[in-house]
Amino acid sequence: MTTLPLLVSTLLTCCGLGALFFVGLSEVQGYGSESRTPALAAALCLLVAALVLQGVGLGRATALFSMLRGLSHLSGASLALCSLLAGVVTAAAYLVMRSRDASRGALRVVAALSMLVGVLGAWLVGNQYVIANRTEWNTWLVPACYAVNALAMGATLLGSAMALRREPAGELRRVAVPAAALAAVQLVTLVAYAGFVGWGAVSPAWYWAGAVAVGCLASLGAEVASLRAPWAMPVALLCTVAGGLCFRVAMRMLSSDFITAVHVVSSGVHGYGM
Amino acid sequence: MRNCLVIDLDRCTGCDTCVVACKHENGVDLGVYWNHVVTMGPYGTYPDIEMYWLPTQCQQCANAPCISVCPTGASQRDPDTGAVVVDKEACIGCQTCISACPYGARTYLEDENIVVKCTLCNQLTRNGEDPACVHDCCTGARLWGDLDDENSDVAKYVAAAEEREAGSTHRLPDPGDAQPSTVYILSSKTAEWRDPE
Repeated sequence: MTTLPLLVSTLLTCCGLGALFFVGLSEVQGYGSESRTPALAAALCLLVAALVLQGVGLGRATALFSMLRGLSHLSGASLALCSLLAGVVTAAAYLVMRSRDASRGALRVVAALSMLVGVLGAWLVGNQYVIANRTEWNTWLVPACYAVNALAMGATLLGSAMALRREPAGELRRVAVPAAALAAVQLVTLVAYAGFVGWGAVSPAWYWAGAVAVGCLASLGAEVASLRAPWAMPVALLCTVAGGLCFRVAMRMLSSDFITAVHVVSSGVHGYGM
Repeated sequence: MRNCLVIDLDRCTGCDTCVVACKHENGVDLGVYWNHVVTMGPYGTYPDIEMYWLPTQCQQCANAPCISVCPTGASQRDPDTGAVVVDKEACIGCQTCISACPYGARTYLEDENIVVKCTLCNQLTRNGEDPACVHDCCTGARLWGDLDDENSDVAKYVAAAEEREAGSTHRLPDPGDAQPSTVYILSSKTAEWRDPE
């Protein structure tokens, strides 16, 4: 297993689940009707890609089935995988229903389900890192950061679809405002998490420059700009995704424990070349 | 039942026999160690210096985090011996347990895509024998038994050490709530206990 595929997998999962949430929300609130199907298709593609990356990361696809068989253990990793699968199934069902012109009532039900799967799933993806002995990760701020980042990515993804399909500015505003609010909330959660682990502990480049400056501030700026210039919304999406990736790398870099360093010393001093 | 190791650091000479015995008994791969002997020190300045050796391996935690995070149930406790073991057939190599273990006691084998660790020589202890590291320790620094049984050798040994010098028994730091079982005995005449950093 390598870290990178699983790290990217969580990014794609969160982006897909966030998009699922906002497509559902737009269905319930009645905006972005032209962009829902492409955004939903993008969400499904992202979730399937995340599933494939998980299989690649774990070395073999059958590992996914082993995790599902072990669901009774209620481990964080199994629940995160279930969230991903639930997202795939919900997005696929939603897409089929939209393509077959299902009744408005049925669409609203599946939209509500999508919102639930989206927000709960994003939380569970982050929650798998909450491990008692990993003091840097052992806080509810980690799943909160994942969930907020997922929703921010989802909002900007739907907003980008709306901008590209040239939906009316009034409609785009209905997703740009929550996207900007989410960028602000994300900024708060990231600062709070940095405060939790220690200001100096986080990587300046990945965390402060990447996750905070690009992922929150630049994204917020682009979302505000999109109120007048819709083309700024895809820029906001890129910034939010880049910020999400930087946050994951920075969070990973925080993970080290004392005994690993001891092992290195031990091997050097006492290694018999065994 | 809380079968675990008790390691008397007053007796340990850092000879690494336990490391060799473990590798020999369990066929541990080249470059992989299920236990380590860490040199602690020397501390202080001549002539007031002290050092000791700290053998580390799976701490057989009572609240083993590696078990609770395992997504397939591969990491489990043997009901007969109480040892934390890995079912190689069920392990998918996700390494979540490695993230959860605060003691770095687990190793990922890339070729087999599984995680391995000290099992307290479960194949031996199941038949009433001592783990290889205990059996082969040339100074008798390592003991194995049920710490919950007041009449066991390990429980008596730990009680005697505490009676000789209160505060001479130690456990590795517990950053979460893993409750490591392995007990280390280090009296002040040998050295002051220091947490590994």
